Amino acid sequence: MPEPLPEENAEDLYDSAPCGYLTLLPDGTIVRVNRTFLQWTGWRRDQLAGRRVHEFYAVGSRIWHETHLAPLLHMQGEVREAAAEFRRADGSRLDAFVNAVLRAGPAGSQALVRMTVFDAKERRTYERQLLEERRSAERNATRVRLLQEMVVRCAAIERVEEIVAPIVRVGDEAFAATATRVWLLDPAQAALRPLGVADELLSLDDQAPEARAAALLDVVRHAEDDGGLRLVSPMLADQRVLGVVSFVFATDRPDPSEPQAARPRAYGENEPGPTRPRAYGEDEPARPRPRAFGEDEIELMRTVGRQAGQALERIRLLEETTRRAWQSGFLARLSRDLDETVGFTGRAMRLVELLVPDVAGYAQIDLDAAGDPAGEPAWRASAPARPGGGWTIPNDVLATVHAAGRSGAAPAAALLITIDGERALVLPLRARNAMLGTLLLAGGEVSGAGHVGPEFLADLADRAGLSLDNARLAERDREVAHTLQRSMLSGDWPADPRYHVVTAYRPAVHTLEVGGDWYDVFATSAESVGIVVGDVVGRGLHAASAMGQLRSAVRALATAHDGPAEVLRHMDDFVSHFAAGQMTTLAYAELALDSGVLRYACAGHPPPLLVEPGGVPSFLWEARSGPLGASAAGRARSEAMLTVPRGSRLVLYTDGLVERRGERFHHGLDRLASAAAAHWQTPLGLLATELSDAMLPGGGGHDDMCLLALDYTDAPPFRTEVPARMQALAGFRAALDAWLGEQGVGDYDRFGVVLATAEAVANAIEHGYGHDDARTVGVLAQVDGGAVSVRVSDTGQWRPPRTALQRGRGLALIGRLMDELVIDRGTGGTTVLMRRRAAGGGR
Amino acid sequence: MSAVQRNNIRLLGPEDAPAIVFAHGFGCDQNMWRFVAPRFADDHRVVLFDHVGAGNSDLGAYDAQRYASLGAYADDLLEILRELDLRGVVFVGHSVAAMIGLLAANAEPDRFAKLVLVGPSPRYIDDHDYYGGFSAGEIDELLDSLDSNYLGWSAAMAPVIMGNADRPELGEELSNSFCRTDPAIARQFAEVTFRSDNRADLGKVSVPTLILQCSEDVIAPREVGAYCNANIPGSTLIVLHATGHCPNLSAPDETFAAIDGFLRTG
Repeated sequence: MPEPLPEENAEDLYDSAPCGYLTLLPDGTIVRVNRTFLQWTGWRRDQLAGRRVHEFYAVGSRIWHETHLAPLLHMQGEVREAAAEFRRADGSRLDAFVNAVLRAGPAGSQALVRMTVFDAKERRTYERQLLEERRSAERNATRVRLLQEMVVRCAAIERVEEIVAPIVRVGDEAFAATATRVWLLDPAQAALRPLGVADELLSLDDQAPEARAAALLDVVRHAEDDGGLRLVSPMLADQRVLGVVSFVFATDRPDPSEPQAARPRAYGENEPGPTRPRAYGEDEPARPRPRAFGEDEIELMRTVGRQAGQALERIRLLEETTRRAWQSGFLARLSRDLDETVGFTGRAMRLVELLVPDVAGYAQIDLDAAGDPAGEPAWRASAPARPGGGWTIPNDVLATVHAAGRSGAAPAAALLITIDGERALVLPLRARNAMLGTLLLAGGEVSGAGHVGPEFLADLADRAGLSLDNARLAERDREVAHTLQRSMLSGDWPADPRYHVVTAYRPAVHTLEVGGDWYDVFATSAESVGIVVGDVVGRGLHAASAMGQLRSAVRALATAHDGPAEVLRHMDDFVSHFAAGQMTTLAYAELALDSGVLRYACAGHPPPLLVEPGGVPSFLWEARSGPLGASAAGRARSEAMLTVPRGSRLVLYTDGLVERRGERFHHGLDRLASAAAAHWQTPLGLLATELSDAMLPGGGGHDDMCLLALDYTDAPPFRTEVPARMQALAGFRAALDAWLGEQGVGDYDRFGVVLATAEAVANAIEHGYGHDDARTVGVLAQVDGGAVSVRVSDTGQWRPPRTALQRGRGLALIGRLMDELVIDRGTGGTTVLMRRRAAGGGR
Repeated sequence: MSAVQRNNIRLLGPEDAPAIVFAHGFGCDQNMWRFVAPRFADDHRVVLFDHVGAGNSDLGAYDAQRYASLGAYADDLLEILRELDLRGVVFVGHSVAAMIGLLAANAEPDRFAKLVLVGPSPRYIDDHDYYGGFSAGEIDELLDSLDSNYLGWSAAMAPVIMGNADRPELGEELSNSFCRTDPAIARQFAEVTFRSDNRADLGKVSVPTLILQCSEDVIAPREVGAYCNANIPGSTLIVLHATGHCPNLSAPDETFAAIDGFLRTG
């Protein structure tokens, strides 16, 4: 039997209903409230009755009641399932849903609002979660978009500094950070440096969150003392930290009444300006909420760090590549420019010019006198000009640099010095384990990072040192070679009126190094002369010294052996015994001065040119064989012989005279033959110059050139032995005068030559023999090419003149009468060579 | 798109009659004026509209950037007047629309004959000596509650049309909705409304102004009404017997009478 249902009365149904129940006047005044509502809220009935329900709402619901609930009740009489939040007596909140209905009262009475209140704590919690998730998703969608934008922008930047803007933008828009700062790791200092701030440095050992994040390789959250927050995300590339991004969240927004300009702003801090248009009066800026960061936000910050790190790594690689390309390009340019600059000092000056401004604002080279670090620099090159004459490097610095330079440490370390507030680097200049001096660099890139690093500078200094040293050595070689060459090529020819020789040597243009061309003239016997022109392969000191050896060898062999073929055979032996001189070419000829018999041979050398009287040229094409030392050539040295008429001219030369770029060799020979014919009338004294000029217009060719021309005197010479007594002079004078007349020498020239020669003979009688009439004075006179040459020789001992005046007058007289005068006082006697250009006679 | 379409304009009364424009405030739409506006239609050209984002306005025209201040709403109002070629307008604005109309009248005074401000507040947040009725924290809480009521309000605003014994004539007409509001737009409109500060604009008013102040209004307390009255040159303040923030709904007769009386003066 079913149990009876309990009695229910309306009062209990109302008071104990499973929902709150409020009856309100239309203006919200509470008329009646049930017990359930009182129990839920903790208010007593007397606290509620007669008060407006607004007072028991949380503020949001209060406004919502006025702006939504009341109007809807007025318009549609009912509101359902609206969210409302009541204040409990203990200050906590009751989340509720309310249904409300407006009941018009009977005529004459007020309308009433009946409101049921349901506890919606769980549902509201759920809704809040839903809402939070949705908003979080929306936020994150926005953030991911901002992040993607950052990645895209980072991918386009080319300089480290440009990474700040995209990151700050993410901090600003994705996280609403008060400020976003980018710190870069300075590995050398083991410290972080804010990008764009000059002098701030944060050691990695610091407890600041930036340093901790760099050490932890993860996001660090740091609560500031003032309630603000800092979240720091490391910028990573392959788990290497390159820096950190620091997001700052201030505890409060700045007071808007405070002028913005007065607030100091850190670099990278977000722009505080309004993001929305404001007109018709300022809106109140939003008050900050306390920030809480979810794992999703932290992860996004991590991603910002990783993306920024990768962008930085890419930029670094790009910059490193660019820097290395620049460096190697610069060093290559430097080496080339230095190589093209001749001379030690020239190179040093060029070097400092090249270093400014790409490497430094100021460059200075101090070259040591003799490796003495404490001594004054021997020489200085600097650029640009500096008032006061440049830096004076303190002695202790010099000593350190020298010690480092000598220690051979590679790369040589640069020493940073500061003088009068200016910073400069001092590097050792060294080569072949020796110190040359120092290179000082100041200003420009030197003090900053830039593309100039220590390795680059060390490389630069080493290259510069080597280049300078090379220049120094080359200069020294060149000096020696020139000296050698000058001594070899000096025109100290045997004087013999039966022939005359002129020579010319012209170095190649565009080089300062000497070549190996030489010529030589020497007596092979009393009655024959040997002439040679040769060409040693190569240039410089080696060629010059080889040339010297070969020249001596030819001389020695020519006097010891008979004929050109023999000479060449022995020269082959010579070059095979000595390393130097292989492949040397030469033309050698011996002329018998009385008979005119010419013997010649060519070892791989252009043929001698014979110009017979009247200007008929012919090359001597016989007796040809290979260069010296050429294996097959040695066994087949031959010589040719012919008799040349008196008055002939023989021209020996090296290929530099006839070779032109782009011209066949035979054309060059043809030009030489034509030029020699055309200059037949040219006196021998001028011939070498004029023939060279004709063949090498512009002063020189691409190779060295030497030329030797010998004129075989066309008339027999005047030759006599004068007894050493003054009485013999008169007859001698008459004989010489007659002979000169026969040669067509004019009266005036005859008188001069005779007077000068008699004076020389008188000197020999008086000072050479002391009037010993058993002795004779030899006189040889020759007319050739418009000049009269006279040789006066004795075999006596020189005696000092009785009075200087007398002696001086004799020589002075000869000097005035003759154009050239050479006096050779040897142990075996004295020879006086005189020459006077004469009108008439000759060709 | 024309302002007429964008703002869901409804016109009542003879075309050549003096124009009276009614603007709704935060929380609802032009239905707020349903018990008052028609009463002017006999001898006025009555203009009703919804702010962009409210009622049947074109939601697509809402741009959070543009509507970040009340100025944009004032611009819309001026556009409507230009489009309808209205001058010498009587503007009746409720709640925040009072300030919107005031801004528009300050911008183009020639178009306005009179202003009626119903429950106006130039600033809701207390500021030093100024009493606005809310602390900054309370407004934050309001905006928070708008957020948390995101779903609740949507549900609450869903139309629940019941046969209403008192006003059966409404039933069909309201079959669409009252106060239909996009929650996201409502959230921003609330922020713009409750963070605005238009105190400096009060002194620039140059047209005759009537202030209707309810006797008990938690949103626009009497101190605020008095402040408006003191700062709007030549303004008239009428304190209604009506309580609450919406006398146009809770006391349409009194509201009509006060406006009508003001229109008949001067």
